[in-house]
Amino acid sequence: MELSDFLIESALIAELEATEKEPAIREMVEALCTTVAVEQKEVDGIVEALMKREDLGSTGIGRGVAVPHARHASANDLIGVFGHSARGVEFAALDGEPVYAIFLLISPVTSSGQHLEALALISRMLRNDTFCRLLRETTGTDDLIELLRDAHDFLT
Amino acid sequence: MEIERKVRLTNSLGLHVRVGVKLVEEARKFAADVFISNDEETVDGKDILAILTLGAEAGSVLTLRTVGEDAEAALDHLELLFVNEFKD
Repeated sequence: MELSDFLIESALIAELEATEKEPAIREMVEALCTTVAVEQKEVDGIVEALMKREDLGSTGIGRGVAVPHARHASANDLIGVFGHSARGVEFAALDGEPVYAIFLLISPVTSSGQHLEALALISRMLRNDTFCRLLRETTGTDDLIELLRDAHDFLT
Repeated sequence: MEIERKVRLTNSLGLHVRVGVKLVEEARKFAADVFISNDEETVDGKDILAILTLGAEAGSVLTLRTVGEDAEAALDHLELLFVNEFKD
């Protein structure tokens, strides 16, 4: 699996306007609506599912990264969107730090395997200090897309 | 002291973030070092990112290894988490 298997590049947000969890999640789901991946009428339900999951425990897994995720009936396949914030988003992360990079994942109700595989992939990349630094410092849509396309090279 | 046991991941969703966080929180209550392995690699049981890299699916068998003075208490405690499917 590669990031490009599930991340929808055209929905990428280079600088999130929101600085708090729920607005940031909504902004990212709305961005997916500009593509064929998600229909507008599904937005509220998806945001609700993602926030319900956050209520069970933050998906801010440290190193400035969060991986909000939920299953939703509207998803036929694993889809994801990447959001970046130079200012940082308050996410109640495990290490208490704001997050700078958010990988938001939506998976079909029937499968958990792909979602685990995606989390494992992202986690492996985050073990690379250089990748973490670049993920935080890179700005601009084109440079972020390029970084994510090259992310596989950071796997050890 | 160093001991290890095999555990089966019986919860329906596999080793996802919430379960991983619970495992880390409980492992950190002990002084012993905690290691978790699948067939391919061994990772630090007190590091959530490391645990998630295993991508362990429901039904998979993992090996828990604890090293240190309270290794046995730690292993007993962590094994119980798996048996109880990480429910409180």
